[in-house]
This record gives sequence, structure tokens and C-alpha cells, in this order.
Amino acid sequence: MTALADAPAASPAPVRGGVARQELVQARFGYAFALPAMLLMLGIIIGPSLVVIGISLTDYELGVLDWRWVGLGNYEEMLNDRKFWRSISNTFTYVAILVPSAVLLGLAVAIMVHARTRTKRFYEVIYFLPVTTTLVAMAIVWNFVLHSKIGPVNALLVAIGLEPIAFFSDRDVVLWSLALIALWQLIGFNMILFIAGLSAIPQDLYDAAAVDGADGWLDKFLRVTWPMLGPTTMFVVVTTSITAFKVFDTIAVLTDGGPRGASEVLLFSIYLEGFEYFRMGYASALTVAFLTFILLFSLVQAWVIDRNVHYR
Amino acid sequence: MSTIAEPYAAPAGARESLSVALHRLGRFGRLALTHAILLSGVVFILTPIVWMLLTSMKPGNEIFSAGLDVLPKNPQPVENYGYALTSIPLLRMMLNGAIVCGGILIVQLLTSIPCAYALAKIRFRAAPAVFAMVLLGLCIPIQAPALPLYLALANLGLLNTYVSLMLPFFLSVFAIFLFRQFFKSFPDEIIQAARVDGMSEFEIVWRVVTPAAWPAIAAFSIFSITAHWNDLYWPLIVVSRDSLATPPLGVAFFFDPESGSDFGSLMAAAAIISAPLVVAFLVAQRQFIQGITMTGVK
Amino acid sequence: MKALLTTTTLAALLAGVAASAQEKIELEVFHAWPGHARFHKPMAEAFMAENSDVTVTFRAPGADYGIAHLAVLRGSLSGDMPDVFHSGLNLVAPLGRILSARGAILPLDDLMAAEGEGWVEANYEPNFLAIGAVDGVQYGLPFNASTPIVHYNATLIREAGGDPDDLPSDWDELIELAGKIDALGDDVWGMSYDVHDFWDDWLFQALIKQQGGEIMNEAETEVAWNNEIGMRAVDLAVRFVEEGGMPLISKEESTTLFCSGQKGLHFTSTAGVRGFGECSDGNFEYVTGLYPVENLETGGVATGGNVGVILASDSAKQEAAWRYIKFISGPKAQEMAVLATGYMPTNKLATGPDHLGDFYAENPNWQTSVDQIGRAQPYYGYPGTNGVKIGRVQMEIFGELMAGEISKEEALAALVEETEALLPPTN
Repeated sequence: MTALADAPAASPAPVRGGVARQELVQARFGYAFALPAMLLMLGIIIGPSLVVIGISLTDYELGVLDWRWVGLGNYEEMLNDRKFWRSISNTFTYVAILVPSAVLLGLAVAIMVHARTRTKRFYEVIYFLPVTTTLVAMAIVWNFVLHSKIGPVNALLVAIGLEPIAFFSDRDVVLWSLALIALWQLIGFNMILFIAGLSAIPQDLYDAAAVDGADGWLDKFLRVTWPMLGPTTMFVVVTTSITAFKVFDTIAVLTDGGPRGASEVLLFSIYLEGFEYFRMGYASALTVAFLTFILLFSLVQAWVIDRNVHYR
Repeated sequence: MSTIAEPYAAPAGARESLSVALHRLGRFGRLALTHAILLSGVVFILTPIVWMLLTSMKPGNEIFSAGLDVLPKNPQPVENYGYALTSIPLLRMMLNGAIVCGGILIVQLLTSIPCAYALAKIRFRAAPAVFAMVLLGLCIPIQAPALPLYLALANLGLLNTYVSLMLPFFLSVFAIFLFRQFFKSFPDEIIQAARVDGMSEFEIVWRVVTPAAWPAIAAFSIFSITAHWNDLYWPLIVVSRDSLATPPLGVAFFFDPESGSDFGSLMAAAAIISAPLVVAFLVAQRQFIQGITMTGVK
Repeated sequence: MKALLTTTTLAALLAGVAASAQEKIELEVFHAWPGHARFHKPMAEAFMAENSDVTVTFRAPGADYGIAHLAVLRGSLSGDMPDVFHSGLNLVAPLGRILSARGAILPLDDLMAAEGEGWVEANYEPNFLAIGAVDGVQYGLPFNASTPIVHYNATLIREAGGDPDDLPSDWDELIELAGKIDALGDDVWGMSYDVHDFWDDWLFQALIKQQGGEIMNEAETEVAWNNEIGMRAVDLAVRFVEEGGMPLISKEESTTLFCSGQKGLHFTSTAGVRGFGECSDGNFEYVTGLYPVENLETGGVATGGNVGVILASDSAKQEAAWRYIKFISGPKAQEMAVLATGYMPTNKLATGPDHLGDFYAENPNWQTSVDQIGRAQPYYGYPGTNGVKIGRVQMEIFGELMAGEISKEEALAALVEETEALLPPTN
């Protein structure tokens, strides 16, 4: 509820004396408080990113002594490379698969778990377990569990009369398999966030809704739960989509971008060009493209948040 | 609970009919259905973890053996866990992990709490720009500035130090975002009263607002620690010595894709390094959920 | 610069061990494949037992050759270099060229000459030594070497009516056997030759070289298999799938499938012998066989593995590093490396009766790798710096071919075109 109450900062009536002076002192503290974070931001994120933009205008190869400026040559190559467009399309497909499923399933599990009393803690712990696991190990586990020929999941599918699925070697399936693995980790994470949101909804809202004639589980959900969860949902959508955009680890250890490039997402192309082929100039151009995409995406999201959710 | 007086009341639409149908299932039926769904989710969640734990007890020739013999025939937990602990300095790596996670967390809190407070409670002209920067920072993955950061650390002679492991993560925009929401809901009256009492803004941040923010700090700590404990990408770049290796490097040590014969020990090592996080979550669980609730992410 | 480095090293050698006896020299060694620590560590201990003035420490291993190579190149920018590095064979050429321009790698020719007449001949096969040379300069001593061999599931061979004591010697027999095994049932697969998904282009080079073909023409301007040799390679790849029952799965899945006992035969490095021995133990009977080379005159297979190179810049460390790489490529250390994996010994003396002779007599699965030494040819490194990318591009084309998405003619044309597009422009 409090998030919706949107009082502007420092609104209370000023006590005697110069309001302006007091605000000036406060403003100084404002700058002082923001300064360390902004300096770190400059040193860790902005500065290096500018260097990356600089490198993207060169033909620099890691370790090689001579390099020269090539202007926008790398960008030209990028736009003419069908693999670039393929990795853009793979990235967005993956995001489109993962974000809705991770948000909706996280919400569904949260609603069910939140209503429990004695078993609540049990479910919370179980669903949170994947967050604690280490990817190197889980990659081997998934590689076996989802093995296209001898994996237990396929054994189950065959046992109930279905066709086995080539999780990692079918081009049309591989992004779904990777999303499934990400989902495995994200459900618990999102569930925790949603449970927090649910526990902040006052019971009297449900009572009021019941008086208004809302009966049944679905009615209550649509009239009370869903609108009240607005800010949580937006937050979960933002963090989940950024996680989805940043997918890299599972691809690096499970599919290596394959089969035949079907799981090569943008971040993985950057890794290949920069860290396997050592073409830092071209990799930097891809990085700039990646940052541009993710910035546009988050600007749109920030705009949506500002309009629909009273965060400020 | 509302009442459905007439059993044959014609529902107005599909939504109602589903609602009514669920209602008719009765309390017990609905409870059973909910648990059935949740438990099938539990199976999905636990299958890989159970497979990992079973494999951690198997000898090399049973790991990929045919059929669905999931249980180890000749379990050798002592050998696998012993090998994981003795063949590499796994405990040392966990200590390194604790130092790195702790260092990152402390600096993240020290830099993000004042910034978040300034954004939430102080009016200054640059505030919108700072907030825009925070949103921007939220989106940039470490892979993007990795090479310049590496070269900078190298020039400063900081490779193979704890500092190099921690530095890129000293700023958590996620923390600023989270704490800002929390501080927004902190009553202005209390802050104003503290100002009247002559407390400086500095004191207000650390002595008035922060103590009230413990649940949020606990919540953020879990997010931060799970992220950095298991990070493999950055340590691989800046650390080349065992003495500074973090836990996932220890697990990667047993990764031998050419033969896969060490996978038992690998799973054992993975189970060992996950354990502290599970314990931490169990301990902080209540505070954690309470903390997120209070951050206004609701 | 090279000359200067070498002179200082020789000076240090002449000064002898006496000078350095005072304080311990620390050598930092870096290798790829974390699993290899299993033999690197005991080897270093054996070395230190004989060389008490040196302490050997290891960097955290690189995940594979490419990642390790990258780490060294990054280190050359920051001055954070290991003293000894085990460079993947397909990356020796770019490594040597890039680092020698910086004077950051030590040429070994003078050091080898200083060992005296006949030393080289007594220890190394010329074809093995050649894999550590770049543009006529020796940078590495051969350490691990492996060639692709065939790993068989003898239990399945018997079930299919074959004879594990009479393994196929040519491609037709091999594919026929694989096909028979594949026909055994729905849960059994015939074979795999993962030329569509591997760590590099090693298996493709083998398909060319086994016909006696070259990878590039002499002037290194165009590929040398834009002809019936290339067509034969492409044709075999298709037959593996169509007649041999090869599933198009990832390299990790492929390894797992063989270990599970549900695949007839599996092409990969000799380095897998120990691992497959372990995972097959008690599950199925495991045997190894020679790679079926068609051209017995000039044909062979590409040699994978790594060589030890010296990156130390300090003369005392260079001297100690030379002792170290001599030791690890010597018979005693080779014995350890071989037994830990199934790699080929790179030192002639290691296969002698003093060392591994008896072992090989008792373990025929391991003998295959030795039998194939005569067929070990250099792993060709493409000119320019696109070697890794070329491998990846080729694998993708093989994937399309073997999935039936493009014809053999289209595949060969694409292989030629995309490979040549990645070569450095010719004046």
C-alpha cells in the first residue's frame, strides 16, 4: 500500500528559519550521498563502456601490436552479417519465451504457497533451492536429465507414448530447453518476490470485495490481488527481462551456441568474437549494439513503470 | 467465503462458471488440487538436485550407465566427497568466497544506502539524472565493460588480488533501486523530527533510517551473496592462482568433458559449496521475505 | 629481440645452477583442461624432487585450449604471464607469431643445440617436434599428443554378429558394422563422428589428411580440398548419418551416449582411453581401434594436444623453465601423462622397456595410440588469426549437411567459400 502513497520528499511544513537555507544544506548532502555511487558508476560502468565504444571504431585484435581506426567499418560488417541478425532474433525469442512464463508461474506458485499455513515454509525452501546451485554442476545435470537419447525425461515421454524430444540438438527446441532451465531457477526467485507482495495486501480489501459480491477464487484474484500486485509485477517483469537478456552461462556450457547457431544469442556472439576469435574491435561493436538494445528496452520499461505504477 | 445458495444458479459467464466449479470442488478438493500442483512443481525443482546428490555418491562407471538405475549400486560418498575436499583446497576457496562476498556486500551497502536515501528523501537538482543512471546501470551486464576493466586492473597492478575480484561489483544499482523503495515508505515525520533535533543528514541515514532497514538489508544480502558466490565469469578473468580461487572455480576443476570420469567428485564439490547458501537462506528466510515486503516491491 | 633473449638465456645456462642455488626460483605453469591437473601436479612434484632450487606452482587451469590461449594473450597486455604455458597445437602458430612480435616468447633452437649432438634425435620423432615449430622457429617441446582413434563397444559388436578381434580397417567395413549395430534396436545407435560439433576442426582435418590430402596449397592462398578429396570427406560425413546410424547430437551428449553403452563406436581423441575405460567398467566391453586411413602412403591424421612453451622473461626463470619443459617432455614424466589419460607418449624413450613397454603389452586399448604414432601429422593452423572461427564455420556447414538441409555439392562449395573468406587477404 505504501508504494502507492506517493508523497513528494521533504514536503512537511518548514520549521522556522530559512527554508531555502535548509533545503540548500540538504541538497548538498544529496550530492554528497550520491557522489560515491556515481563515481563508482563512472569508473566501473560508464568509463569502460566509453572505451568499448572507442575500440569498436578500430580493428584491434587482442594481443596484436598494430591496429588502426576503421571508422564505422565494424558496424557495417555487423549489419551485413546474417549471424548478427540471427542472434538478435534468438535473443528476442528467448526473452519472449522466458519472461511471461517465469512471471506467471512465479505468481501462480506464490499465490498457492501464500495460502498455505503449515507447509508454507517447506514450499518456500524447496522452490528457492535452485537459486543456490552452481551452474557448472547443473549444466552436467541438465545435459543428462534432458539427454535426447538416454535422458530420464525422454524415457518418461516414451513411456507415456510420446515422441522423445531432442532438447539440445533440435534447432526449434533448443531455446525452449534453455528457457526451461532458466525457469527452473527463476520460479523460486520470483515466487519470493510475489509472496512479499501478497503479504502486504490487507485482508479488509478482500472482505470489502466479498461484500461487493465477489465470490470465488478467480473473482477475488481479478478484483483485488492482481491490481494490488501491480508494482510487484512490474518489478518482477523488469528484473526477469534483464536476466533473460543477459543469458550467457547456460549457452556457453550446454549448447555452445548450437545446434548450428540456433542458440547463439547476442551476448554469446560477443563472447565468440571477442574471446574465441579475439576480434576485440568487432566484439566491441556488437557490445555497443547490445547496450543500445537493452537501453531502449529499459527506457520503454521505465516509461511504462512510470505511467502504470506509482513508484515515484 | 461467500455463499452459493442455489446450486443451479446460471453463471453469467465463463469466468463465473470456473469460479463456481472450483468452489464446488469443496474445501478439501481444492486443497488437494493445490497441493497436487505444488508437489508436481516440487518434482520439477528437485529432480536435478536429487540427481546431483545421487551422482555425488556414484563411482565413475555408474554415472551414465544405461537404464533408469538412479540409485548408486556401489555408493562411495566418502571417496567422492573426500576427493573433492582433499584434491583441491575447497575449504580455502569457500573462505575466499566468503571474503569476496562479504567485501562486496559491505561496500555495496555503504555506497547504495546513502544514495538511495538521497533519491528518496532529499530534493536536489541532479536527482532525476542520478535515478536515470541507476536504471541504466541496472541493464549493463559485466561482460560489456570486462576488457577495459581488466586492463585497468592490470595497470594498477591489482590482478590476483581480492580487490580485483570485488571491484566491478562495488556498486549495486539493484541495491539502490531496492533501498530507494524502502526509504520512500519511511515516515517523513520521523526524519523531520530528527532534523529539528539537530541531527545531520549523515546521522539520519546511519542512525535513524538504516537501523529500521534491517529486513531490507537482509533481503538484499541474500540476492547479493547468491549472485557472487556462484559467479564464474569474472573470477576466471582476474584470478590465476589457486590461493585466490572462489568456489565455482573449484567445481570447474573437476570438469573434464573429454571423459567425464570425475563427475562424481564434481557433484560432491557442487553440493558442498551450495550448502552454506541453503543454510543462509534457512536462517534468513523470515527476515528475507519480511524485508522485501517492506521495500515496497508490492 | 629474439637474439637478445636467447643470449641472455644462454648466459644464464653457462652461469649454471650454482648462481641460483641461493634462493628458490618460482616457476608458474599454466595449462588448459582442469582435468589435466591430475598428471601435471605429480609431474611437477617429481621435477621438484630432482630440482630442489625450483618451486613449481600452477595457475587455475583454462577450461579449454581457446580459453587458455586467450588468458595468455590478455596476460601479454597486462604483463601478467605464466612462465611456462601449455599451448594447444592448433594455436601454437598464432601464439608464436603474436608473442614473438612482442619478444614475449622464448625460441628454443639454441637451447636445443646446446644439449649436444644427437639429443634431439634420441628423444623426439621429427613429426612430433614439428608440431611445436612456427615459421621455422622452435617454440614448444611436444608434451601431450593425441590422434583420433575409434572407441568401440565390443559387447554391441558381438550382438551385431561382428568380431571385436577383427575390427574394421576401412570406411566401408566400419560404416557397415555401425549400421548393423544401429539395427539392433531403437535404444542403440551405430556410431558418431562429431565433425558437426567438436571443440575445433580436428576431425575434419583428419578426414582430409587420411586421404593424403593437404589443408592448404603451398602458398597458403587457397584450400587444397576443393576437389574430389573434399567431396570424399563430405560424402563420408553423410554416410555416417545415413548408413552408420549416427545421431546428430552435441559432443557432450555423444560422449555420454557412448559411456551409457548404447552406441557402437565413437571417434575421439586417444586421451579418452582412461575415461572410457572407467565409465565402461562393468557395463560393457570396451576396445579401441586404429583410425581407418585410406591412403597408406601419405595419409595420416591430425595431431591434437599441446606443447610446452617458455614465456618467462627473467633469465634465471628461463633457465629453470627450460629444465622443466625438458623434464616434462622426457620419458619419466611422459609415462605419468600417458597413464593418466591415454595420450600418446611424445618421447621416443617413453615407449621403451624401461618405461611404458610392459604396460602397453598388457593394455592393448592403450597400445592403439602408439600404433598410430607413425600416422600423426601436424595439426594445420590456418594463416591469419581466424583459425578458431574457421573451425566453427565449418562445423556449422557440416551440421546443415548431415541434417540433410543442403546437398553435398552445396556443402563443399560453402566450406571452400566460407573458409577462404576468413583467410587474410592476399596482396
